[in-house]
Amino acid sequence: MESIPWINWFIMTASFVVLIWLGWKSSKIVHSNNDDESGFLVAGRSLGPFIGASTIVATGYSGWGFMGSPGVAYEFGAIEILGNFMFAPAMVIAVLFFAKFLSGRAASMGSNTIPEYAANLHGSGDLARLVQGVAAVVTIVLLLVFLTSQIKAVGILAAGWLELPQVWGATVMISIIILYTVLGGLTAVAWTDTLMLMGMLVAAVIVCIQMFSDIPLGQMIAQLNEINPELVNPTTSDPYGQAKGAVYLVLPYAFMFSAVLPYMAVRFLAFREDVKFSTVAIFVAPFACILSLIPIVGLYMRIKMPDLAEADQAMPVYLETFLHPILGGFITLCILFAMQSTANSLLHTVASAASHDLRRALFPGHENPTTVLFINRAAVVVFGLVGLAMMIYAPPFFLSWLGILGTGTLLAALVGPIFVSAFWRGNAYGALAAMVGGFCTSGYLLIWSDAGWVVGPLVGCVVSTALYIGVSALTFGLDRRVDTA
Amino acid sequence: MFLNSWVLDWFIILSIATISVAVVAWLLDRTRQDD
Repeated sequence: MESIPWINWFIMTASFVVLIWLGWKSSKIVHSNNDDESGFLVAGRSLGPFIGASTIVATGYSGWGFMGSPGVAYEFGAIEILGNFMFAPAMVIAVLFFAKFLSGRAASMGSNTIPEYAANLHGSGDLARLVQGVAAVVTIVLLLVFLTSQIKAVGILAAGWLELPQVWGATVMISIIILYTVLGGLTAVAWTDTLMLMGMLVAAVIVCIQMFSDIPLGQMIAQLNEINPELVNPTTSDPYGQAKGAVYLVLPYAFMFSAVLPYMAVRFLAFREDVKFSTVAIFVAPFACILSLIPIVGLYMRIKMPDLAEADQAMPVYLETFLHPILGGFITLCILFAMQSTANSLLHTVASAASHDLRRALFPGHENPTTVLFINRAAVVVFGLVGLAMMIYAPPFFLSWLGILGTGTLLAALVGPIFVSAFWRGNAYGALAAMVGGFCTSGYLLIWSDAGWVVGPLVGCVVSTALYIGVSALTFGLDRRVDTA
Repeated sequence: MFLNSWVLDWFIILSIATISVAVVAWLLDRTRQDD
C-alpha cells in the first residue's frame, strides 16, 4: 500500500506541536527550588511512578526493537524474540532491587548525575573531582557516538517517510528534540517519553492484532518449523553465542544496562521521595513485555515474504505491504518516537556530563543558578548540533569504530563505582582503576576479538569489579573510605 | 514444550514470571503499608 505524504506531514506536525507544548509546560519545574540545578538535571526529583516507569521503558527500548530486532528475527528466528525480551525482566529487577538504593543515596549526597554520584561516593576535593571528570569524559565520548547513530537512524526514517533529503530529516528531528529538552530538561524528556511510549504500545498492539488475526501463533510456529526447524528450536543461541544457553547472558547484561548506564540510571535519581518502586515496577513489567512482542514481525515476514534481499527490510516492507497507509504512517511515527525517546535521553545525559560534571571537575565554585541553568541549556544545543555535525561530516569508519565500543564499554567502565559500590564501597583510586580497566578490557575485546557484544562487556565488568575491589583495598592507606556516604 | 518451540516457551514463561514478580512485590508493599 502506498504511503500518502501529506498525511505523514500532518501526523508529524501534530506530534511536534504536542511535544513542544509538553516541553513548555515542563519548563516550570526547571525553575522550582530557586533555579537549583536539580530542576533541569533530575526533574526536581518530581517524577511519579507512571511517568518514571514510562521514561525508563521508552529510553531502554530504542528504535532497535522496531527496526533492527525484527530483522534479526527474520534471519535467525525466534531466538531473537527471547534475547530482545530479556530487557523486560532486567528492567523490573533493576527497578525493584536497585533503584530505591541508588535514589536514596544520591538524594542524601545531593548528586544530580551519575558521574557526580560516583564522585561523592568515593571521595572529596581534588580526587573526587578527578573521578567526576573521568566518568564525565567516558560518558560523553561513548554516548555521543550512540547519539549520533540515533540521529542518523531518525534522519533516515524521517527522510523516507516525509520524502526529504536525509540531512534535512535529521535536522528537523534533532531541532525538535533540542527545543523541548532546552525548555524542560529531564522533566520534558520524561513527559515526552511517556507520550511516545503510549504511541509505541498502541503500535505494538496494532501490529500483533494484524499478525495473529492473519496467522495464529500455533500456525506460525508450525510454518516456521517447515521452513527451517532451527528458526523455532535452535540448537545454538546464534547470534548471541554458540552455546544453546548463551541467550540468557543477555539478562545480566541488560540488568547492568538498566542499573548502571548514566542515561538509564539517572531516571532513578529523578523520582519523588514518596514513590514506591514496587508501584513503578507494576507499570514497567507490562510495558516492557508488550514492546517485546514487536520483533515477532520478523517471524511473520519470514513466512509471508521469505525472499527479502536484506533482513533489515522486514519492518519497512511489512508496514508498506500489510497495513493501511494511515496505520502504517502512525506506526512509522511510533518508530520515530522509539528512536527519539532514546536520543533525547542521550542528549540530556551527554549535555549534563559536560555542563555539570566537567564544569564542576574543572571549575569548582562557580554556582550562580541563572548562569548554571544557561550553561546547562546551552550544552543541550551545542551537543545536539555536534551530534548532527558528526552524522554529516565524521568519517564513517571513525563512527563505526567508536560505535563498536558502544554502551557495553560504558557499562564495563562504570559497573565498579556505581553498582559494586552498593555492596562494598571502595575509594577514589579503586573507582578510577575500575573505570580505566573496564573501559580498556571491554574496548579491547569488542574491537580486537570475537567475544561479541554481550560477552565482551560482561568480561569488562568482571575486570572492572576486580580492579575496584583490589585497588581500593590496597590504597585504603592513602585514601580512606568516605564516611558520610 | 507447549508451543513446540523451546525459545517461545521460555518467552511466555519469563513474560508471566516478570509480570508476576512485579505484582507480588506491589502486593507485599501494600500489605506492609496496611500493617
